[in-house]
Amino acid sequence: MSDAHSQTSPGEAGPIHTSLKVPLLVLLAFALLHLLAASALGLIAAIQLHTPGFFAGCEYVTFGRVYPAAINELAYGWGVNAGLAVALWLTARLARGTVPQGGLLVVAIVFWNLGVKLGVLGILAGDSTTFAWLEMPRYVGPFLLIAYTLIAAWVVAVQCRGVARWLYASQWYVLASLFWFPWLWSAAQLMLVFAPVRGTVQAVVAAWFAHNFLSLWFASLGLALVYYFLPKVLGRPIRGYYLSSMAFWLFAIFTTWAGAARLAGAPVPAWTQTAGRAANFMLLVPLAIFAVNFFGTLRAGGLRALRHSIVLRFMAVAAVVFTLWMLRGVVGALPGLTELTGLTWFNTAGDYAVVYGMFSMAAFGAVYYLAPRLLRRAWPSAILIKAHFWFATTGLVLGVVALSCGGIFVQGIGLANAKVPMAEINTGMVFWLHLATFAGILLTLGHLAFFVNFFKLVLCPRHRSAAAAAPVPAVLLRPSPELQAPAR
Amino acid sequence: MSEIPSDFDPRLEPAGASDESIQRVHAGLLHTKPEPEPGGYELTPLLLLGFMSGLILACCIFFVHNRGGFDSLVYNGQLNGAGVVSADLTPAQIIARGKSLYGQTCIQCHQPTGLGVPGSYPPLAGSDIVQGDPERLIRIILDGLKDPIMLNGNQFVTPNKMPAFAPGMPGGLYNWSDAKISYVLTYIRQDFANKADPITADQVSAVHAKIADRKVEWTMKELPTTP
Repeated sequence: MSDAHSQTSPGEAGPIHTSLKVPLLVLLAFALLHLLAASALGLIAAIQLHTPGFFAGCEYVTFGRVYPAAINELAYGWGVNAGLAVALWLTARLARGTVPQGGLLVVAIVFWNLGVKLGVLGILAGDSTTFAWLEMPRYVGPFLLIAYTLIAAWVVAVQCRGVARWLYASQWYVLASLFWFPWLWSAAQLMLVFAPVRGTVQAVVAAWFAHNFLSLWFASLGLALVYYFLPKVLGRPIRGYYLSSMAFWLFAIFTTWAGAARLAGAPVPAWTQTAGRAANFMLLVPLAIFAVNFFGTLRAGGLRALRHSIVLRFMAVAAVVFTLWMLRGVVGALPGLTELTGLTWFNTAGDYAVVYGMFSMAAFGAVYYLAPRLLRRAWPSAILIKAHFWFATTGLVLGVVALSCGGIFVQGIGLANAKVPMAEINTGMVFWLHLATFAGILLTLGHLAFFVNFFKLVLCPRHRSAAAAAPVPAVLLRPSPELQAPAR
Repeated sequence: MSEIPSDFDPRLEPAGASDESIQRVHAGLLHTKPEPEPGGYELTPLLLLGFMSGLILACCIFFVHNRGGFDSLVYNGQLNGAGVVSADLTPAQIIARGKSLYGQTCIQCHQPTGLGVPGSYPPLAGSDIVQGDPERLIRIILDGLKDPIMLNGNQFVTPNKMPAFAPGMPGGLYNWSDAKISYVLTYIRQDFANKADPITADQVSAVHAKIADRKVEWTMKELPTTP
C-alpha cells in the first residue's frame, strides 16, 4: 500500500514520512515530557511569587532555582526539541529528501535530552550561570553544542539530499535558524562562561543572547511554520509574497541589534542603548511586510476557514502574538516608556509571549497536522485538541495581560514614584501574580490534554492489533489539490 | 480507528495544497510584482517605500540626538554629553580631545607643527597671544579675527581668515560648544613646547556671555593689548 501512496501523493504519506517517523516521534516525545516538567516547575515558581512559604523549606525548589529551571526546561527541553522536530519535518517535506541513518540521529537526540536534563538538575542543585535564558551550568554547555550540531547537521543533510527545485520562505527561516543558534550559543558561552568578558560588556552580551535566542531561534521557526501552513491549509498563495525576502533580511539584520534596547537605563554607553532602540523602530518595516503576508492571506482565505481548521487557528494566534510582540518591542523602546517598563514583569511577559504565544502555538498546530501523517491514523480525540487550543489561548492571553498590566500599572508607575514604598508595590502585584498562576494552571491543563492525546495516538493501546489492519484515512490517500497562482 | 474522519475533522486535517505546487507557485510570485490596473498603480510597494524612508530618516535623527557622543562613559544620551563629560575628564583626556579637534580643523592653516606659514598664517608655537591672556585668546576663537595680524613683530596677511567658532556667528560654520573650545585652547597652550595654564569651559562661557551680542570678527586694534 505504501508504494501506492508514494506515487499518488509523495509528500503526504510516502517514503519521506516513513524515514521521518522514528526520529520525529522521539523528538516530539522528549519535547512533550519536557513541556510537562516545565509546566510543573513553572507552576511552583508562579505560586512562590505570591505565596513565598510554598516549598520554602526545600533548598532545591526555592524560587531562585526553580524559576530558571522552568524557563530552561521550556526553552531547551520543549522549545529546541520541538523546534528541531518541525525543522526536520518542514525540511524533509519541502526539500523532499529522506532522513539518512535515522538510528544515529536518534542517538544524537538522546544526547541532547540527556544534556538538557543534566543542565536542569544542575540548576536545581545551584549551578546556574545566572544569565537569563542561559542558566544552563558550565559543564553542559559544550555537550549541548555538540548534540545540537549533530541534529542540525542531519537536517541540513536532508535538505542536501532533497530533490525539490525551489526554496520556499519557510526553508529560509528554518535553515537560517539552524545556523543562528550555534552561533548565538557558542558566542554567549565563550564570552560569559568560559572566558568571561569584563564588566558591563557581560550585560551587553547577555542581552544580545537573550533577545536573539528568542527572535532568531524561536520567532524565526514560528515564522517558518506560519509561512508554510497558511497556503497549506487555505490552498491559496501568500499575499504580497514578493516582499517576503526583503522582510527576511530586514528581520535578520535589525533583530540582532534590537536586543540592546533591553539595556535601556543600564550603565552601558548611551549609543548602544540608542542603537538598540533604533533597531526596534526599524523592525516596523519587516513587521509591516509580515502583516501584509499573514493577515492579507488569512483575510483572503475567509474567516470561515478559521472555524474549520484548528491548525489554522494555532497559526493565526501565532501570527497575532508575533505582531503584538514586535509592536511591544517598539513601544518598550520609546524614550519615556522604557523608564516605566524597565525592571518590571512587562518585559518578562514579552519574552513569554514570543516563546509560548508565537513559537509554541505554531509548533502545537504543526504537531496536530504532522503526527497523523507520520502514524497514518487520526488523533484519538477531537475534544482534547479543542480543549488544548482554548486552554492554551486563554492561559496565554490571561498570563501575558496579567503580567503586563501588573508590570506597568503597579510596578512601573510605583517604582517611578519615590513616595511609594517598595512593600506597597509588592502587595499590589499579588493580585496580578495570582492571575498569572491561574493562567499557568490553564496552560498546564492544555499541556495535559496534548500529552494524553499524543501518547494515545502513538501507543494506541486499545487498538494495537486492529491498528495495523485499519484502513488508512481517505484524507491521506487522495492527492493534495494544486495551489493556483493568483489571477492576473 | 473504526470510522474514517471526514474533512473539517480536527483529528486529521486535509491539506489544501500540495508542497510541490506551493513551492512552484511561490517561486514564480517571488519575482512577479502584482500588475497594476491599466492606468492605475499598486499602492502597497509605494506605501512601504515611503514608510521605510521615513523610518530610516526618523531613526537617524533619533540616533544622532541620543548617541551620547559615542562616549563609553555617557550612559544617558538625552543629557548634554559635553556638559556631563567636562566635569569628569582628566587632563590627559582633555589634551587628547583638543588634539583630535585641532587635527580636524586648525591643522590646515596652523600646520601639524603649530608653526603656521610665514607671511600667511601665524604660528601657535611660542605665540604671545596663545600663551598670554586667556580672554583675548577666547575672543579670537569665538568670533574670528580680521587681517592684518601682528604677532611677535611679524605681519601676516591670511588667504583664509581666522574663522569664528561660536554658534550663531555669521559666516561661522563650526558651532562649537564652549567645552569643545576649551579643549582645543588647552591643547594649543600646552603642546608645541607652549607652557600656559589650561582654559576651562567655564572661562570660555564667561567670555562668551560677555560678548554674546557681537556678530563681527575682531581686529587686532580692538583686542586688549596687555599679554
